[in-house]
Amino acid sequence: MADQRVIIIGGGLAGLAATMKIAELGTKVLLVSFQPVKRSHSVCAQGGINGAVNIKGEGDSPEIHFYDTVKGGDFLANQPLCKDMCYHAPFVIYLLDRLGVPFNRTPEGNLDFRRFGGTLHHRTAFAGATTGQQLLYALDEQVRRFETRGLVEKMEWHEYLGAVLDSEGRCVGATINNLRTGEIRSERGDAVILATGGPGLVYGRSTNSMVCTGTATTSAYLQGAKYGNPEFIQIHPSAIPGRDKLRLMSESARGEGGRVWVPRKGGDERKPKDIPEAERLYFLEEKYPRFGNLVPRDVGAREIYDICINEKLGVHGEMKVYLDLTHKSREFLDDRLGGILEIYEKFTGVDPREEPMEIFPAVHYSMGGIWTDFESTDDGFINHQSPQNQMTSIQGLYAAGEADYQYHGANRLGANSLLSCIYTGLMMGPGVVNYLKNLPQAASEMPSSMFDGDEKRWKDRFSEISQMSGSENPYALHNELAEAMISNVLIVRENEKLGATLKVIEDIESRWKNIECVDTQDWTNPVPSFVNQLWNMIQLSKIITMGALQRDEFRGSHYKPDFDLNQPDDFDPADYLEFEDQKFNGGVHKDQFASSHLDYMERFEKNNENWLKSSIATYNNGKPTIDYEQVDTSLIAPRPRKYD
Amino acid sequence: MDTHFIYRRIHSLTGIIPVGLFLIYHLYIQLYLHSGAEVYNEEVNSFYDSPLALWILVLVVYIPLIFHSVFGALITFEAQVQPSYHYFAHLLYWLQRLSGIGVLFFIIAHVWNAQLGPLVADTWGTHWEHLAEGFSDPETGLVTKTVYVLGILGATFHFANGINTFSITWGVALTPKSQQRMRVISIITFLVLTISALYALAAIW
Amino acid sequence: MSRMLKFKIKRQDSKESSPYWEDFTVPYKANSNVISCLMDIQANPLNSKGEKVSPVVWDCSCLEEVCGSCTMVINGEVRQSCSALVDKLEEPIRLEPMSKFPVIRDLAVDRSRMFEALKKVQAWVPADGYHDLGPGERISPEHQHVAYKLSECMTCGCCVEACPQYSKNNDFLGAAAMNQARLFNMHPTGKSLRKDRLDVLMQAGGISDCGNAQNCVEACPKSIPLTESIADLGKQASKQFWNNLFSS
Repeated sequence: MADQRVIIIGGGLAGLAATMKIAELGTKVLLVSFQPVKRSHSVCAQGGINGAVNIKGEGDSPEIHFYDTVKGGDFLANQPLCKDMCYHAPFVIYLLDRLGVPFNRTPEGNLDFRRFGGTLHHRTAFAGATTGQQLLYALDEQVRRFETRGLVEKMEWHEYLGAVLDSEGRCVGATINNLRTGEIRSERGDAVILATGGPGLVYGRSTNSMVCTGTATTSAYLQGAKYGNPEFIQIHPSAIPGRDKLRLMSESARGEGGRVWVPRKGGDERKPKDIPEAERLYFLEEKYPRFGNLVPRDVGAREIYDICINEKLGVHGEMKVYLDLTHKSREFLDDRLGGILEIYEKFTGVDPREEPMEIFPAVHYSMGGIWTDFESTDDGFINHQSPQNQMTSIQGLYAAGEADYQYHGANRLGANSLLSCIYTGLMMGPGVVNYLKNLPQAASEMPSSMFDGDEKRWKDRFSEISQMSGSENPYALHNELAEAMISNVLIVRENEKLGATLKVIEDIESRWKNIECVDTQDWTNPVPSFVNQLWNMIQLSKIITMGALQRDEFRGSHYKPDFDLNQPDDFDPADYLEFEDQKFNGGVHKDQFASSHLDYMERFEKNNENWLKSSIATYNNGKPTIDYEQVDTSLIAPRPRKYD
Repeated sequence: MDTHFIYRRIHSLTGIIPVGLFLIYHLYIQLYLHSGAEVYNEEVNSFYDSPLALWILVLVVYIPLIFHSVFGALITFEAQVQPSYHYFAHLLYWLQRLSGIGVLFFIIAHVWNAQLGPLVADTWGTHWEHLAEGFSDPETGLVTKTVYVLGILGATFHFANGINTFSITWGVALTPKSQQRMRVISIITFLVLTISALYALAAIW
Repeated sequence: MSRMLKFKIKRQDSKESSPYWEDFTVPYKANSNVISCLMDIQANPLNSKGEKVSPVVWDCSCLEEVCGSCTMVINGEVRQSCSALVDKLEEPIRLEPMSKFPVIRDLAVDRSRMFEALKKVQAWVPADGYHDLGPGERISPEHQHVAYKLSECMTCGCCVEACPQYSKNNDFLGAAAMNQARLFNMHPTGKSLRKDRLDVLMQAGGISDCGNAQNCVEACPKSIPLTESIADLGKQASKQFWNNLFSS
């Protein structure tokens, strides 16, 4: 067959991992990125990457990692993918080690591992507190190597607008906007991979980079691709407040011994160091003796919300708590957390080695994303040769990394995102190449008429946008959208507010049509592109809110107090397995369980019947609909989560 | 191997060996100014009496010096003025270039005054007297003195700071700590050479 | 009336057009940095005279000083605009694009020369493949400390902007790329390309074009020991020079 190539959109960890794997297999790659790939949002990941290497001899294993991941995600993830990922995690870390990532070391020279949320093991490999940056650089270097060999062509400062589909709906290319010249072109590609990260900017200020608009995935959704679990947005418990962005304070700060507390007395305005130990409330440690400060993020964020809003114990009466590292030595902190402590100091002027940090929860990650497929093997792993892996519901269009919805269920564990990004990028490579081999015709041989239509459609759209001369400033309108989302679709969700938010979004959508394109230059004009992104963000916020509104339950990051099953304090999740077992074997011995437990288990079971399903958003005739799809829970039986 | 690298390394090397070493020797000889005209002239003339004097002068002093200064002046034009960065090392960077060009002019004047001039005028041999006369000339004495003091300061600074940059260029001083030590050494070198040279001049002030 | 912040921004409409200064005033808000003010201008693009103008164009991404995107010259000094807190800046705050790179528009510049330099010095580990080959070599914590620091370089451009030897008219590699050469020359397997890297560093634009102004190390926002890296490469180059002369 004539020359084939894969178009990869996005140069973060997933995009680069896919690029280098596919290039290694000898297939050409066109790598498209909004900015130089070395600046992708993956650099912001701080704490580390999970892999059960068991270097500390704690009896850790990929199976336990798999269990922690599935439990952390409240059983909403398709299990074979999680299993395959966790079993490949040690290999991914070893590969990164070989590629030169300067991971921290034990005195003997082995990889060092730290604690992270949602697990009791030292499972997180790390390079100081800028692990994402270091991993990204290692992959960036490998891709640059392929670039010099001609296997990879980079198009930086280019933006993906949409997929080019042939008459059968198969993806044969992508329409790309040159952010410098404003030129729009449809590029031919036999497969297109969206590795475009998350949509934090829908919430305006989040821990995400300014490029994380979710536009590319939303565009795929608007073209008919299924979008999975949109309502599952992770709120990170610890971020640094800021006017332009909420900077992340890594979970590793707690992994290395950081303690979260508030003054026991509301309105205590003494300096934190002047508050004696007895007058501090270490609320996570008290409530969760086993996991303590390292409960999963959904739990942590909820507890902070509870202590600040319901108990009114927030620092300075605000939604803030102390994160305290002052009991650790300067040398220890600089070695293992240097990068993030410097960031805190630079932006707040306070030295976190001397004073407890003031942190608060912020939008961080989207567990949801474009729906993708997989092919599992009989023993519950993934067939890496299958072209179906990571393929969206549009044939030939793939998704990887935060852009997909597969690996984290209802809540992602810290340090699993770097893993899932690199794992998916590498794992999908052989399947994508196999997909190319079996195509009837190469995209390069298709008639240009196939591509002209899309090119023209997008050119027309952008020229319409450029001529918009209404009265709404697009950036101000975006701030309004963000305000609505952050006020109502965050940690605690209430149907009334969600319904009202949908109306606000629809209002913003209609006002979008009255935008003024505030910059009319042809050259390097970011405004038309942003106006288009804003449209997509509006569409995405709709399905996030709709998904939240429709899902009447409490699962992982999606917390609706009205539908909390109120797990009894003394409940043991093992009882539920026993209960299920008895049920399967003929009948429950009701006398064996406390009646409140029995009630709870029945509620839990019923709730799972209704809601242990992926939300699948589709866009038809200009309207979103959300349906539900079974989750593959064939490997670990769902059960109530408990971390105390 | 690229000549670009070789030329620059030779430039760096010649600044220390032999030009720098010659500077030390030269300033050492000047201390004899205090021993009076006879001894001083004898010291200087004894060098020129050597059958190898011309060879040494050309091979060890003139060629390396001309190479070092001309090449140095050329690469100075590669530098871009960065006015808003007020760091000490940056100041030294510019002083090194300014002193280099200043000293180049001083050396031309000095060679004319102390060597070629007397040769042309056929007054060669009475070096002490020639210098002392120049310094005490009622009309040009002050200018000569000023030029000499500035020339000496320029040369000792350029050499002393050159030791510092040389140690980085050749990877002798690697860590910030050792580079700090090197800076101390170069400051001491600067002080010793400058004091010694000015003390020498005091003999004929 | 609330306090206003004054900005003087050096603007340029396209690559070829000539630059001009434009004044902006932005309402003061607590905890502002330069970027949040530029965002305010975006949301209300009026200059000081109240004229409607196109919003200022600049590059930014992470806003927490790890991506390297938002470098510009602020009050005469090169730095990241995200970590430039307005409370610590003298007014009027002067924003200029970096001077060592071609301006794209306003404060956005083209830094591709820095990425090309990374290609020239082959800043990568020549791995055999991306399949399972087990762990890498053991590395001492001391070695890791040095490597990690060097590896924090985000190709932001501060070092070369401040460097008096780096100009639009020459092909100097600059401190960032040389620092990467040192990083990979010390890596257990990366060092197999050491000779090739040194060959490049010993050409025009290489290590011998460093003038020891040491502005790079002062300007580096990540405090990377760039002078040490240059000295280390100087030593390696000296050895290679010797080897080339007498042992090859």
